[in-house]
Amino acid sequence: MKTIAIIAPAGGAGRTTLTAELAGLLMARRHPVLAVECDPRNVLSLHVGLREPARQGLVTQLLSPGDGWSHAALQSEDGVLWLPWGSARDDAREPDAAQAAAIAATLHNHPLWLRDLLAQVDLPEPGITLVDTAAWPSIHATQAIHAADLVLVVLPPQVQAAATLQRLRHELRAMGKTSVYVANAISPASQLHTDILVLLRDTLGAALLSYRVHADTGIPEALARNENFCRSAPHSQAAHDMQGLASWLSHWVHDASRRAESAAGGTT
Amino acid sequence: MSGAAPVRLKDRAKQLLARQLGVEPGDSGSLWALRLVFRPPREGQRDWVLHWFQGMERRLRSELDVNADASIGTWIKHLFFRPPRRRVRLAANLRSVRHHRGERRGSLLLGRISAWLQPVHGVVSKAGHRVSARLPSIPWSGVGEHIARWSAVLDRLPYLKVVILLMAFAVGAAFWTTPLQLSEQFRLFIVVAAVMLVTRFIPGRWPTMLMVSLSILMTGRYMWWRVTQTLNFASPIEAVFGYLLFMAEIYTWIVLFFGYMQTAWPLNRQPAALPDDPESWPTVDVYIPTYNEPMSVVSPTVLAAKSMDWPRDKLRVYLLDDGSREEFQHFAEQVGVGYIAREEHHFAKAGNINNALKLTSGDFIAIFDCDHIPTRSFLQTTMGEFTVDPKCAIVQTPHHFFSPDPFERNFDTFLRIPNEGSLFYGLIQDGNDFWNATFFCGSCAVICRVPLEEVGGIAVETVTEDAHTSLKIHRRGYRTAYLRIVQAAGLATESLSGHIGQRIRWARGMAQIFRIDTPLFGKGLKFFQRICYSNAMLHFFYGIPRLIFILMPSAFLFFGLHVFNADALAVMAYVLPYLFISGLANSRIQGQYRHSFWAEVYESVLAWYTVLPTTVAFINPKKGKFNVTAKGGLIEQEYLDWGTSKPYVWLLAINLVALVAGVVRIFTVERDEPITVLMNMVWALFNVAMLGAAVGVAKETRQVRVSHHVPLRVPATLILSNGKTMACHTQDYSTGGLAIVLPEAMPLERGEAIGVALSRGELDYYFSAVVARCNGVHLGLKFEEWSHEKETQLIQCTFGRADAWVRWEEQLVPDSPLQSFVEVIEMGIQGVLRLLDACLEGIGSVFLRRPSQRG
Repeated sequence: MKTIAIIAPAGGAGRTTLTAELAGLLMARRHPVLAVECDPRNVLSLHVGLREPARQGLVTQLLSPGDGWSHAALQSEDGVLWLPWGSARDDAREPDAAQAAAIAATLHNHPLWLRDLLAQVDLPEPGITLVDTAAWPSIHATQAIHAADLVLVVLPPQVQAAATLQRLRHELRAMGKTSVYVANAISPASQLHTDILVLLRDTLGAALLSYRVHADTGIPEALARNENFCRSAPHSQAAHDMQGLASWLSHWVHDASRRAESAAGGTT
Repeated sequence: MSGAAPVRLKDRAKQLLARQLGVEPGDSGSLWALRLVFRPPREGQRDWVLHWFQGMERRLRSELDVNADASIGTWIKHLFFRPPRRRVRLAANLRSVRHHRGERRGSLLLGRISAWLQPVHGVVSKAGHRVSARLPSIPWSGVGEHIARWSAVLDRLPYLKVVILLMAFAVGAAFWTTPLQLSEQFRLFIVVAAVMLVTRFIPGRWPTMLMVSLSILMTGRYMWWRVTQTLNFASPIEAVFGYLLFMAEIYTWIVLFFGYMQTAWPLNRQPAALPDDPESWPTVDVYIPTYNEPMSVVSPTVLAAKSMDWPRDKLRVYLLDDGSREEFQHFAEQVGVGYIAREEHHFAKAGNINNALKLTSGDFIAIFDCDHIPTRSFLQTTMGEFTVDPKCAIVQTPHHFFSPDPFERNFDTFLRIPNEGSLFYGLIQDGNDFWNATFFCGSCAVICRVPLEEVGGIAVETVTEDAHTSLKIHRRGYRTAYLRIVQAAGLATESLSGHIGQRIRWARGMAQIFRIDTPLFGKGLKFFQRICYSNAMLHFFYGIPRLIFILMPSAFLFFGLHVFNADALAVMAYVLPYLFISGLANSRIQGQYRHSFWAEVYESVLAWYTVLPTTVAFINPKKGKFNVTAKGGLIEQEYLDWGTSKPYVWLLAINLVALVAGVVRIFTVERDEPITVLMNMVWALFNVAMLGAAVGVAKETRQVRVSHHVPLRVPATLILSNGKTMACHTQDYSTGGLAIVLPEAMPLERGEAIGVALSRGELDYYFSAVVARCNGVHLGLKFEEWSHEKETQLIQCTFGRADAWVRWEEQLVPDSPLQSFVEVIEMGIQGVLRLLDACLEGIGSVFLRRPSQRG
C-alpha cells in the first residue's frame, strides 16, 4: 500500500475536489483506494454525497484513542473508502477549548501519529491511500507529509502560491520526501496563468508534471449537483487532464511497489 | 320528375352492379375493371390479385413518370413520348462510395466480385484454412534474420564478393543465352515463379536481392530471345513498326536495370547529432523564394521558418519576392524577416536565389518553396550531417504534401494508395543516397554556401535548376545526404493542368541536363552516380515508349502487321515470365511506396504531354519556357477538363475501335491465328483501362473552400463561453479558421464566442474565435483578433510541431499486386464511364437542353 499526500501551499487550490476525483479514477484503474481527510474543515464527505458533515472520523481517534475510528470509514458506490475528519462533538459543533488543546497536543507531539494510524490499515495491493489535508503550512499538512510515500503538491496559478513554493520545496527536501507538482485550474485564456506556468516549469523542472488540470466551471457545478465530475462530463478537458494524472499516479504506485519488491528481494 | 327518374335508376343500377361485383360505388375505375374479371377474395383471405395489380400500377407509374392524379390522356402521352428527366450518371461517385463502405480500404470492383464469388470463395478459403492449420507454420522473420546473420559472416571473407560477382556474371551469361525448347522454357518459368512466391514471404534485403537477380535472369533470357528470334520481318513496313516496338522495349530494359541498381540498397540514413555547444553551430540563412503566390500561402511558411529551433542570432529568414509586392515587404518588416527583391527577373527561381546569395552571408542556406511549411526541428535534424561530414554539401528531406494531388482527389485515393511522389521520396532518393547520388529537389533542403558558390550558384542553364546544381556539386567531389524524415509539408498542385505543367517542366529540364551536361560522361562522377543521375533523367523520356505501347496493338488489329515475329505460344513462354517476374520483383522493392500498375496509370496520363518537351529539349535545349505552378486555387464546378484529356480521348477511341476491328478480324481474315488476335486484344484492353484512368483523372472534383484548407489532426481544448472545457481534435486549418471534431454533438449558436487552446509542448496557446458553423460534432471556428503573432503561435502549435508528419509512412498500405491490378482496372472503367457521362451530358445540353446533373 502506498500513501499519497495531496497538499497545497495556498487555500482554494482545488485540493479536496482533486482528491475526490482522483479517488474515483484510481478505483477505476483497479486500485483499492482509501481517501483520508486530515483537515478540520471536515468537507470531504460532501464530495461523497453526504449532505451534512460526517460525525465520526480521524478526530474520533484523536479524542478517544481506540479503534472506534475504524468504523468511521464510509464507502461510496464505486467502492472507494472515505475516512473523513469527523466532528469533535455529537452536535457537529466545533471542539471546545479543552478538546482543541488535546487535538493540537497530539498532532504536535506525535508527528508520526497519522502515519502510525494508516499503518494499521490493511488495504489489499495495489492499494492507495490519498490524504487530503489543510493548506500548507499547517500541522495537518505536516502530519500528512510524514505519512506519505509520495507528496502531490497542487499548485493554483496564484502569485501567493508561487511565493511560498520555495519554502515548501525546502521543507519537503529536508523531510526527504519524493514530491511531484501539478498545476490546477489553469485557464489558457489568461496570460497570467501562462506566465506562472512558465515560471513553475523553470523552477521545478521535471518535478512539475506535464499534466495540468484546466479550469472548468463544470467542476463546482458537478459538486453542487452531487455528481462525479469526471463521470458527468467525460469529454471535458479537465476530466481528460485528471484521467492523465490518475494514470500517472497509478503507474507510479506500480513502479514503486516493484522497486520495493526487488529491493527486498536483493537484501534477503 | 321525368329528369330525376333516370338518375335514380342509374344510381340503383350502379349500386346493384357494385354489390354484385363486390366493390363500393365510390371506388376507382381501375378497381371496377379488376373486379369485372376477378372475384373479391373470401373473408380472411389475402387479396393477391389486388396486391399484384397495385404493384404493377406503381411500377408503370414510375416507368412512365405519371402522377397519381394524372388523366388518361397523360398516360397515353407518356406511353409514346418519354418526358424529359434527369439522366442518372453511369460513373460512381467515388467519394460517396467510400463513405458508404466506411473506412474499409477495399476497392469497389473487388467488393462486387467477391460478392458474386462469395460461395466459391467461402469454400476455397475454408479449405485453405483447414490445410494451412495442418501444415507446420514457417517463422519467416526468423528465416530472414538467419540469412542476414550469415550474409554478415560471409561478408568478412576477403575477395569473396568479387569471386561471387564474377561467377554470377558467367552463370548469368550462360542462363541468358542457353536455348531451350518451349516446354522447357515453361517449366523454367514455373520453377522461378515458385521460388519468387516463396521468397516474397521472407523479410529482409537479401531475399529482395534474390528476387531482383531472378528478374534479371528472366529479363535477360527474354532479351536474348527477342534479339535473336523475333526480329525477322516479312515486309519493310512491318520492320519499321517492329523496330519501333523493339526500341521502346530497349528503353524499358535500360530503365529496369538502372532502377534495380539505383534502389539496390536504400541507405535509410539517420540524423547525426549536433555538437553540444550551440555557440559552435553555424549560421543559417533561410530563403523562401516567391513569385506570385498569395499571402495566405506564404505567411505560414515564413512564420514557421522563423520559429525553427536554432540560436536566434544564427538564424536569418529572407523572403525573396520576385513579384516585388509592397504587401510582402510590409509583411516582412512586421514579422521581422529580411526582404529581398530585385530589379530584373532573369532565370526565375534560380536567379532569385543567386541574387540573394550575393546579399547574404550565412554558412548554410536552407531553401523552402513558399508553400512548404517547415517543422521546428528541421534544422536540428538536418544540420548534424554537415558537422559529421565536412565534405557534405547538400542535405535533402522529402517533399510531403498534406493535400491530395489531382490523381488522389479525382480518384479519391488520398492516404489509400501511394501517390506519384512517394516512390521518389520514399525509395529512389534513399537508394541514390547509398551511391552518394542524392540530388537537390529545390525545396526542404540545406546547402552549404562554399560548394554552392564554387559551382557559381544555382544552375541557370536548365529549368530544373535543382538537379543540375547538385550534379555540378557532385562533379566537384562533394557528397550529398538524404534524410527520409518529413520535416516540412506543403500543398499539392490543385488542378490536373497545373500538375501536368509541373511535370512538363521537370521533363524538359531533365532532358536539357541530359543533353548539355550529360551525367554519362564528363569528369568527377563515379560509375554508380552516373547510373543514378542517368536513370533520373531517362525516366522522363517514357513518353514515346509509352505511346508506342499504347498504339502498337492497333498495328495488328487494324492492318494485320506482325510487329513481333513469333507465334503466340512462344510469346507466352518468354513475355509472360519476364513481365510476371519483374512485376513481382518491383512490387517487392517498391512495396508500400508505389503499388503495382499505378506507375502505368501515372505515366499514361503524362506520356502525351512529356513527348514534345523532352524531344524539343533534347534537340535544342535552349527552347522552352519556365512556368510556375499555380497553388492554392479552387475548383468551383465539377467538370471534365476536355482540353487536357483530348489526346487520351483520341487514343482511347483508337484502342476501342481496334478492339472492334479485332472481333471482326477473328471471324473473317485471321481465322487461322485467333490466339494472336486475342493477345493483341488483351493488350488493347489493358491500354483501354490505362487510358480510361487517364481520362478519368481529368474529371475535376469540386473544391469548395475559398482559402486552402489543410487537413490537420492535433488535440485541442475548447473553452465555452460558460467556462466549461471540452477536449477535442482539430480537423483542418485554413488561414483565420479552424475546423474541429467534437467528441459529442453540442448545440452551439452561429456567432457564439468561444475559445480554443492548442498546445505546443507543455504550453497552451489560446485563440479567441466565433462559431462559424456547427453541424453535429463538426464545428467550424473563425478566429477573432487575428494578427501575425497569433498566426505564428497557431503555426507553432500545428505545422511547426516536430512530430507533425512523423506518421506519414505508417499510413501507407503495403502493395498487393493482384488487388492493385483490380483497383487500376476499376479506375479505368470509372474513367471510361466518366467520359461517357460527360459526352451524354454534352449532347444533352446541346440537343435536348436537359438540366445537367450536378453533385
